[in-house]
Amino acid sequence: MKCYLGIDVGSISAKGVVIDDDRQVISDCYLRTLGNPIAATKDVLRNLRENLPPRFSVRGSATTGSARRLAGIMINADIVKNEIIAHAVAACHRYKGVQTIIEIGGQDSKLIIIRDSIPVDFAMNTVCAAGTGSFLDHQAIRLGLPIEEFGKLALKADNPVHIASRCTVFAESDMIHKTQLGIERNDIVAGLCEAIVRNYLNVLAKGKEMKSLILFQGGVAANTGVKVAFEKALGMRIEVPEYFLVMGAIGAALLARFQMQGPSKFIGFDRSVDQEFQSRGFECPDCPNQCEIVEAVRDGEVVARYGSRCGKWE
Amino acid sequence: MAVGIPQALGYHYYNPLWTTFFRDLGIEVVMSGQTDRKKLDRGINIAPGETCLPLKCYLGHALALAGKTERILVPRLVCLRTKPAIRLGCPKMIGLPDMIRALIPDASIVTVNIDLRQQSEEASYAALARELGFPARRARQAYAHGVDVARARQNERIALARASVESNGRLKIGMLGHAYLLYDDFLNLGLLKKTRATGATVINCREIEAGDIDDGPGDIHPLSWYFENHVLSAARRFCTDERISGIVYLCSFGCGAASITAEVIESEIGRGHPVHMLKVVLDEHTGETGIATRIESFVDMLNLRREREL
Repeated sequence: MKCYLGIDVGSISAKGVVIDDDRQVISDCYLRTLGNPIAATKDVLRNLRENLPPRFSVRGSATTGSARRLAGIMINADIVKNEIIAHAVAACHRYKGVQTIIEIGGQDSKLIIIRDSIPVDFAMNTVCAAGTGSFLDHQAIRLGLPIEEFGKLALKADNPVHIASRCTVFAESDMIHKTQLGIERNDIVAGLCEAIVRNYLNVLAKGKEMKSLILFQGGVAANTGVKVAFEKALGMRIEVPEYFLVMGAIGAALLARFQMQGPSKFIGFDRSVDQEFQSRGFECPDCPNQCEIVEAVRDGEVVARYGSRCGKWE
Repeated sequence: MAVGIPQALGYHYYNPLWTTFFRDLGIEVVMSGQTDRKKLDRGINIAPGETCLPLKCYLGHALALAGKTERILVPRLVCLRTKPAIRLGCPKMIGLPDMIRALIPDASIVTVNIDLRQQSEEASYAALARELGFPARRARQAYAHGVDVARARQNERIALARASVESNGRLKIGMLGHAYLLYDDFLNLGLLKKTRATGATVINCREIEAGDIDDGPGDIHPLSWYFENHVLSAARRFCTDERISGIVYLCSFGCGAASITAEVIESEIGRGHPVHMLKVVLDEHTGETGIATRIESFVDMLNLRREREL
């Protein structure tokens, strides 16, 4: 069976899918990066392999996400592509007529405007990660809630409170004040979901026309409270795709499916998982820039170096 | 005698006027060198909290010169145009000598005070020369030569940029922002290099004949700040030039003036031909991945659009 591999390694989570020649997902996996993208990538590959048929052949592979380069070196990927294109490709392929993609991940939020099946505009959060998944994670822990419960609680709220949305730190102090006033937890959680939506619309959606069909993907799409808050703010229905967690990985796999010419360079599941792969950093002493050089080492052999401004280590 | 020139902020607008001026007077010029990690870190360490990245960078350059030269040139850029309306430098450029005196008390500084409401630029440089013990006549000659050299250099850049706008084939991206960000590869995290590496041609807004916004008829959005007017004017040029597919607007977090300019540009974009703008905000972050992702995505998107249109 011919198949294509897509890996999306982000700051908070690592995702992977395998699709067949007909572009159907035959295996998918989502797990937390836990600060170790190498281990997470291996775990993703291990999980993906378990659901594959006994006979398969990987004809193409692609990586995306903020650790796309590292993951790409690790598996010797055929294609390394940014997340905007990966998400757009996946959404357009699976949902004809999509015109807007809202994607909120662990550290990044993105808005992609699609017209006639190509991305024509996009925006990403600028200097900080306010209003992204890691903030929700953090607040869930602070309130002693499992993150999975968060959205459900928000839906039970009668009077969502107003919470400052400009900055995560402001939002947190506002939340603490509201808690101490004795406001119900449901209302605070719902207020938080609304604050995230407000932050997103203020920062990313300014001047952009969000037309239907709107897809909501990325980890935060699991939170129904945020989805409902978006629907309320926009006055439009929002669709959460079946594979909302792994859309970036699907996009990467589709790129591999469409763009591969010649045989794949992918080193295979077994080798990828079993290899001794390390990335180690050192500070280049040769000039005052003191660039942090990253060295990728496979089974004792340096396979790639990057990170220097001048390019001498590359 | 030697004068040190911090290669930050105004330097990127006025060079090589300053170097020519001092050398013609027979003064040795000591440059601070390009921005690097060490300079920036030292600047960040002494900078007041709510200041912008380019100012922190400037402080680092000034520190690198302190103790190395007898004097450091710290310009005060107050009023840079009087007609048809008064156009000012940003508050940090107006207060720069005071800030340096307060933050680096050991440094001995000389100032050129550009305030066209008070006197001409030439008279300001003559005053600087007088302070250093040179007669007005020599100062005027040195200034005139400096202006010529700077103009010739600028004309070269403009000619090169024009040739690349007119060249065929490649995707063209207009790069918008202050000179001290566009010409400082360290501060902008290699943004221009990264953009060129995608195969796109970069047109720097400092290198087009944008003119001043006040030169246009009946403007609805004049900005009080001199350098912001240039950015806005260049943005309009980019928006009405069909050869330019997209604009990257580079600004620094906490830049009060740019926050207004950005709003004005965003409200005007798309009035000419459909052009897209990517705003990149710089701060003390050192991770280049975020910048690379945005640039790569932007170029990919513009290329997809172009393929569709062709």
